[in-house]
Amino acid sequence: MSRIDELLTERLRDADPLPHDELDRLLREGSVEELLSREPARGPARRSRRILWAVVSTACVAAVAGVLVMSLPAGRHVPAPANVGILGRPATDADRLPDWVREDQRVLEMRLDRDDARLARSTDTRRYYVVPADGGRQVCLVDIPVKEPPLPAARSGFTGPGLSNGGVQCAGTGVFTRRFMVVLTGYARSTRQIEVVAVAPDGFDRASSGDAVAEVRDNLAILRPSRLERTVRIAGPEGDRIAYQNSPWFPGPGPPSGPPTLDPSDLDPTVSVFNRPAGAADVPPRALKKALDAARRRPGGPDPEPGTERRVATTGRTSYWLVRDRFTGGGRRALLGLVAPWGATLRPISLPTRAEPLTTLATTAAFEPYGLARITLRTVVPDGFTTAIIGGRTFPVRNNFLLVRAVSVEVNYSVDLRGPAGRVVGSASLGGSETRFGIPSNEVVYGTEEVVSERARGAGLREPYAATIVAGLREDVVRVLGPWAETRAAPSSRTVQVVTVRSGDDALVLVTGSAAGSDLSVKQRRYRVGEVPDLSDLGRVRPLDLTP
Amino acid sequence: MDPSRQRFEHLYEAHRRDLLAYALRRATPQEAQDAVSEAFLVAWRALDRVPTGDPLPWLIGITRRTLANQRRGTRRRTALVERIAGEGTPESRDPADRAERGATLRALAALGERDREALCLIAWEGLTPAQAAEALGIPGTVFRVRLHRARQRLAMVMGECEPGHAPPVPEREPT
Repeated sequence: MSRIDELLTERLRDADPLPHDELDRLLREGSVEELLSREPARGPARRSRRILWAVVSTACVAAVAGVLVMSLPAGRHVPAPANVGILGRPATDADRLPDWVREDQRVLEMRLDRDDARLARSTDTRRYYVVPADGGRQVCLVDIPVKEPPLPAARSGFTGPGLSNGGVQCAGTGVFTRRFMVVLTGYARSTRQIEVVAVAPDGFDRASSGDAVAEVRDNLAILRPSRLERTVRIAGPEGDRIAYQNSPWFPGPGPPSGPPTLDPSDLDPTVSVFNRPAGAADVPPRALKKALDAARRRPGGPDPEPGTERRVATTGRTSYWLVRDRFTGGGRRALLGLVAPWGATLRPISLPTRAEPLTTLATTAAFEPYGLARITLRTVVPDGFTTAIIGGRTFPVRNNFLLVRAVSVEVNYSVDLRGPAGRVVGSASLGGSETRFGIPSNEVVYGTEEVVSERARGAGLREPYAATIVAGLREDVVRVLGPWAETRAAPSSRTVQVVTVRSGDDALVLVTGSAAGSDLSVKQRRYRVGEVPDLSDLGRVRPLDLTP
Repeated sequence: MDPSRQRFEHLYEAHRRDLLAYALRRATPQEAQDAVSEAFLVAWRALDRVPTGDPLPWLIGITRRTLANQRRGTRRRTALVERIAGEGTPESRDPADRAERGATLRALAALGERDREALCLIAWEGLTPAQAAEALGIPGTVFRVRLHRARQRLAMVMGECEPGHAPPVPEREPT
């Protein structure tokens, strides 16, 4: 295979779209027994009889199923992940999520299968539900205070990570194959309220994190360690497992966060790669020249200095180039050029300074939920450093450039530079692969008030206005309001905002493009106040303050 | 245990993951699972025809035909590549890398089915050209020519996909 072929194949591999969660889920389902129980008979004569039988029996089954379905209550059953037993147990009245949670914008947005929730634990102050989502592809933990929070003002926003509010966090069901879910349900350093919940698959009965140990019951353990630990463990008949907290608030342990440690402490980083005489390898290819020329022509952008192009690394058919940038608007930086057979791209790259002698931030991070991540680093390194140790592996530094691709690291990782110039250790944190959303989330898309006020004025409504807002699933909004309410929006935007503005006998109903993003494409219709459709089925109707 | 059954179970355990991965890249989860089950049922019924040395290409060939039949039946375009070609990859934080992946997938989706299959069998399924040829039921030499042309076309489309980039004129490597 030629190098260009290798590079194409490598690029295709990078773009592999295999949904691993789905693969894990499917691998858990099915067995040889089940498969062979479907095996049809061999031979044409028997096959014909089988087909006849199949037609007759299918018709009978369909008729019976039809009767059964008609007699079942409305709603659909969501297949539960096979190894989270609580989701398979019969539902009771206690499993029903409170209405204020069922109608929450985030709960709607995240497609929680609200009718299939199971109450896993109830304490004096809080309840913990395990809920399937997205047609059984995900599992979520919904944790809420027992007492319903007062109806918040429309713009009070997210109330913080303490235990006074609720939250929802979801993970693909694939996470239960090798790890488990970890949710930081409470973290208030001032009151030392640290609560970590582990949602474990079947076959595990103990969980621990730091000095806290708890029993796993109904697939759930609540841990209250005195300090936040990075790792959570579960154990039981199925063995031991470890998962990593991926909370963005997580402070450590692991490599210390904060400023890098320097040896010598007065290290003055210099980068001499631009000053070395240009060699034959430093003649920039045509694609790079073209990209640099284009950059120079753009006003206010990078200003690459001619003659400072230096080839610093090559992988496959991609070459990496550093070019000095005379544009100083973005701090001390250079340009990184990536040249491949199909063209060149330019990216700004930080140069080391006394305050920041080492950039440790990954340019790419691929996460395994609650596990390790694979990172790619492209970093300009000061003179006098020859190796970098990352994730226990040693990488060479050449031409003031460190290039590391797809190396496995933990959520917190360090980059340890060594060489004749001394030693620099920097650390970084990758943050989380899952996000916990607060309930009640009462966010109104930024700018909504201004858009609504302007529309109301344009429609001839006289101030003062009284307005309410509700978020609903796009299809539900169209069902309630009619086809006019269909908005142009990205397919990923599942919920939309509906604002009703009243002024005297007149009302204006506006549907904005998204309740979760910045899309404010708006559809609107005038009504008489008494004719405004009832929107309370969509979700929690809240007041919206349009005071300028 | 019946030796046939034993062999089948071994086959199932050894290759189920590979087949599911193959099908999931090209179809919805439900269709993927159905296609893999169908492939193994065919294998069970014709166990004596399953190659003993390296059965994966044969199994992929069956899965591929099953998926093609499903698509003919439903007339739906469900290939994952096509569905996600316009979307970013969530795990990548770097917009440049995300754009790069998106461009690759869009370029792939712009190719013909035969080109795409040839490329993906090598890059994603990790088959050798000989194995891929067997999976497609064509001679090895024909596959190599197809792969070569598919790569050329992919490089060409990628050049067009990345805004501001010149078509893929191979640069001479500085020495």
